[in-house]
Amino acid sequence: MSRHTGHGPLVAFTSLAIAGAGLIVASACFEVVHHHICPSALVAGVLLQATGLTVSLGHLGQKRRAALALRGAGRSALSNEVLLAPLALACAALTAGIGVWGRPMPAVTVIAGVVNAAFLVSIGLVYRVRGQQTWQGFSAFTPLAGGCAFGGIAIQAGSVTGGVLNMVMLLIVLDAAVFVQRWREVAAIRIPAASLADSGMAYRDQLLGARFVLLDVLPVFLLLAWPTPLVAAVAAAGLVVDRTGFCALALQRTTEHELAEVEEILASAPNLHES
Amino acid sequence: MSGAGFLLDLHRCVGCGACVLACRIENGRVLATAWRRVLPLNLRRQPAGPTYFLSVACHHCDEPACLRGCPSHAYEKRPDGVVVHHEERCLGCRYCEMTCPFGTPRFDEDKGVVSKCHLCARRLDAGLAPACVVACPTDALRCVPAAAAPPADAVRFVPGFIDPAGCRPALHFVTPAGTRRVELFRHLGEALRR
Repeated sequence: MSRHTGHGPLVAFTSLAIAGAGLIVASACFEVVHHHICPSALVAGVLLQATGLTVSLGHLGQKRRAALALRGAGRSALSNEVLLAPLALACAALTAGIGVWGRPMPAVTVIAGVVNAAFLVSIGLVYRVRGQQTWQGFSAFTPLAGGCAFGGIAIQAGSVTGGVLNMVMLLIVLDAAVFVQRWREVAAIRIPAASLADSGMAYRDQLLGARFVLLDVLPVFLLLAWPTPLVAAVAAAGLVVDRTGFCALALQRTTEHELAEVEEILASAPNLHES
Repeated sequence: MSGAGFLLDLHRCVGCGACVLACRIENGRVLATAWRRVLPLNLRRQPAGPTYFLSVACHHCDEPACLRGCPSHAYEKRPDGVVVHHEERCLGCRYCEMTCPFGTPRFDEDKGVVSKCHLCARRLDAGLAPACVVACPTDALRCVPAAAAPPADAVRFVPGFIDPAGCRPALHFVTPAGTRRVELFRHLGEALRR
């Protein structure tokens, strides 16, 4: 098993970037479907993304070489993400600028929404690494689904006009559907005892459950019963738990992992022992 | 075999760690994280139980996941199959740590970059064997040059060593002798596949 340590900035970056891009995508959806414009959500999305991008540099061992990350564009999933991140931020900033200071332009918002959605997908694809058991399947879509759900919840929670509750509920349901699939996939993986000793793995159900409750269950009840900006904070906590759990539950089939599994099989099947 | 790689005789390796030490000295990594590691497989999970040792470093895969994922082209596969890492192009993003299913790339906190075994490429170019191979007292660890064929009885996978990411590692094993051990390895392989 491979445990990725020292990835705090990465968790912070993905949490902030997903939240920021999610706000932009949700704003674009609301503008297209309901002609509902929320400039403050666009501004918040830009600020979150910009903060996330800045924090992401903290993850690099050689920050001055950050621009080299673009060299693998088209081949490396990480380069694609690095390419899309500033592009998504620029589109979001343009949309927010137009929304706050000028006449709203739906076409620009839609383009920003599409680019930010692509950025969220690219985040998911970075972690779709062969050999990483818990990052397969539906895990790749959790940034997009989670980000959109957070964006919708935050916009609805901060809206003074009643917002677009039906669409928010739809985004939450979509996220719940995607996340439940990830949960099922993770639960189906056979975890060796050596890995279970790790604190993240030992509490995997609690981690996954907390994320589900914070981002998909609690906001629904709160939005219906007590719609205050606090709901956005609950959903944000859900996103942080989501990314923390994503890293904490990383399970890579390294040689050490395989050997641990072999020894476990030997221990459980004495007839296989050498004499 | 398409590229250069290692051959490990599981029957001969006694887990002495001379290969690890030689690698450290040759590459000036006496205090830094070792590129080679010796992993024991204790069949009875007892201190005196029969144990095999997997001495592993970079496997110089035919389809290296590190190279595939690296955003800055820090990895290069030479014509002879050796996968080298150029530190001066490395961002220290550690993505290769995630993509490599063998736990090969190691992050060097002091330098802020990743590093790994390069099969002693300079020694190979000079017609010498890698330092770990030269240091092996039992001749368990050998280097199979590019375009050379490994022994006929060598296998690519043994229990505890698989290829989960389709990298096609250029590491071959000579499995332990004896019918009972061969049977044991077969049973283990089947159990792991389940």
